[in-house]
Amino acid sequence: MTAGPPLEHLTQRLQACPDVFLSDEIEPGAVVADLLRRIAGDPLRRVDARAFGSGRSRRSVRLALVAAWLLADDAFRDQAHLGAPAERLLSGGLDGLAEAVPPEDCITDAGRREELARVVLAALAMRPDGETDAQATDRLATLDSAARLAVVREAQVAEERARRIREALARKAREEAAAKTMRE
Amino acid sequence: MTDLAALRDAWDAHWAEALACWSPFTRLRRPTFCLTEEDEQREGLTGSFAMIRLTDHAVVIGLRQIAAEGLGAFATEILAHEIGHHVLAPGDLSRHARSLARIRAGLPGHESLAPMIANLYADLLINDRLQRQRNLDMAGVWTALGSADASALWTLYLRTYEILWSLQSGTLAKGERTPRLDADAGLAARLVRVYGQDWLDGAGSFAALCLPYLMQDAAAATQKRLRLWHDTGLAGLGGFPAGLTEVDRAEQEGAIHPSLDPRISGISPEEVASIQKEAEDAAPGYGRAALGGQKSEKKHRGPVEYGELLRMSGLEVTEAEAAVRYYRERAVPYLVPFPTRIVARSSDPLPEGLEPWDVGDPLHAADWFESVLKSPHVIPGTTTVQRSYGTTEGADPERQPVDLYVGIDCSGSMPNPRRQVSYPAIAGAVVSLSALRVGASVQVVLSGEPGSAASLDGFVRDEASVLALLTDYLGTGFAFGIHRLAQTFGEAAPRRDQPAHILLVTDQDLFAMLDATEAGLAKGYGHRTEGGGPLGWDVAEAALAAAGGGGTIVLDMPPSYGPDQVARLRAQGWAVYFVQDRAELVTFARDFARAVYAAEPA
Repeated sequence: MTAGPPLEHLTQRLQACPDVFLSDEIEPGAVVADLLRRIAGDPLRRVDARAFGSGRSRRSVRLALVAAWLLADDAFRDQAHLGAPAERLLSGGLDGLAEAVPPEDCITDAGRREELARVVLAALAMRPDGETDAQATDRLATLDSAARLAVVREAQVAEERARRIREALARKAREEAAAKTMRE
Repeated sequence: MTDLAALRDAWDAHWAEALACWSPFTRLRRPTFCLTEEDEQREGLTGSFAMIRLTDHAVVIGLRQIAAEGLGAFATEILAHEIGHHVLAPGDLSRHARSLARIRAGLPGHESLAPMIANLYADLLINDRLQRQRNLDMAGVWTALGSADASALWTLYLRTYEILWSLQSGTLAKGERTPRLDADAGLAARLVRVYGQDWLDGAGSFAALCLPYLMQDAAAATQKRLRLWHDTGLAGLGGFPAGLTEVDRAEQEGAIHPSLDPRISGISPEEVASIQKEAEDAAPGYGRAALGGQKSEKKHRGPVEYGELLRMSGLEVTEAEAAVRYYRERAVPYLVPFPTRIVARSSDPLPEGLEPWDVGDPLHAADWFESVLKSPHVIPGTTTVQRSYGTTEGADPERQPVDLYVGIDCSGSMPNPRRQVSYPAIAGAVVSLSALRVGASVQVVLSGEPGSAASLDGFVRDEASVLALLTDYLGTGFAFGIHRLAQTFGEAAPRRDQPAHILLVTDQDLFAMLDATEAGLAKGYGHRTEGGGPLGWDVAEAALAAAGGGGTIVLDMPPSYGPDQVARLRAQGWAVYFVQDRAELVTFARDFARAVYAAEPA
């Protein structure tokens, strides 16, 4: 991993993301194509703009647009080697996160802002400035909403079922205690 | 100066800084520092190095333990944390008790651990705010305390702090971490942030999250381990939270796991519904639907749970005291007008003459102006005088409340009001409190006969003793001993100038008692109609006439039982009500009030 910009800088940029990035008034393909040319430092680079919006959920596209806003920071400009990973990230690399986190949370919620910033840096093989590789990996794993959701989902039905049974048993025990008092 | 005295001075100097962590306008009295074991015992500080009391807004710090745990350098952190319990969570006794109620709902089968979980939850909220917004080194406190404990709950708890404060994994949590534990710690951290402002709404979910981990740990061992941090155990000491008999909506709906809260987990409400349906299919009959839906009316908890909640809040109350508070709170919304009578005319004081004032007389009775007129040299007991008064008939008629005689059936067929909600007991409390409110005196007779009885020492005005006996229980015999009415209203009873209203709280077994003679009753249930003397019917009728203030019988039975007996009682002049649930209680209060207004003298 190479050192990237400070995390605080990226989260502040996310906080300033314009509302239009969460609306339907924007053409995702055009935004991403412009972004990739900006990152590559090549205004004439060929980008298939249609691929970014088709066949994906609205939530996934909107999160990709928020990530595009982040990648449009000067810290990533004119770095041709970041073009390919950025394209992969925006083409579907955020679908898992989008399923777990509403895109607007990545602007309004401090924890989700940090998570998106770290996900983007990790996709570019970068770490936040001032952190070691281990620290960056550990923190990203800690914040990983998609992984957390997967683990939680695995046990959710069983957990809910157990909770209902426990509640019912506790209720029954209370009723029995009351009935016992009556008998006495 | 001893080391602890120096430590006290050093900590005292940080008090203003700790207060300012919450607001420059926060005002709280200075903390009580305990330097010796005797100090700690006096303040009730046992096990923990700090505690709060919400009733007198106290912060108590045990400096011996602070020094022993190596926490001397964290004065601002620990003081600000304790202040946070007064300012943020729980804040006041009412919210403390309500949070405990919600947490109890999230710990089915482990309700006794609610105070510990409530304390962990409040600590999370406070510590997160102090670490992130005030840059206090709360993580340093945890590190100094050491966290070698590897229990599942403790690991989850410390892992939550690591996530909240962006600490490297393993910095605080030393126990075994599983993907599930990491995921749950992530949910706990989200819960703290999402419900940071409306923390009460997240209390039940936090408990539901902790429950599986509590079940892994031995409860006693966990409690012992966490006692050091338990600073809200006596938070409610000396206070009394109002409104706790009512079950609030969030509590009724139950505590949901944070993974099923879309605000926390990020999953959609549709997916939550689908998971709940799947769980219902997997365990049919256990879901909320099996209860037949929720009524929109307010729900109330029973007296036992109410007492448990009071004790969990830190109050030292016995079962009897809890029952008194419970029935008082349940009765107050239904207070009714109480019968009064007109006494000829009110009397006004009429100044008549002067008489000597001696040193044994009340000081305020002395008429100093007249005394000085009599002699400019005032010699108490010699020259001092006081005004004497006669009475003159006033212009307006005066209303006086009649007294109240409450006969409570506490035979085996009646519910024990300390263990179960007894609507007849609430009805009794309604009428008794209504009577006391307008200045009447009340006599309570508890009777389960043949067997035993208990009564107050005559008609009294003391609400506490009236309610204490009203909610007591003997569990003997089969009904209220109707013949006891003769002891107060019979010909041989001491003469009473004041009329009284008779209220009997009983059930259908009263009818068997009405058919009995006192002598027959002494021989046993099978012989109750034998022997000489008047039947219960005659005693009841005579007592009603002698009391002079009317009579009410509240029956814990369906209206369809014993229609002939009920008709006969009504013919004697008794007002008969059937009270078995809340709706019938409301009807009783309404009809009682109407009857009083109808009979009100013009």
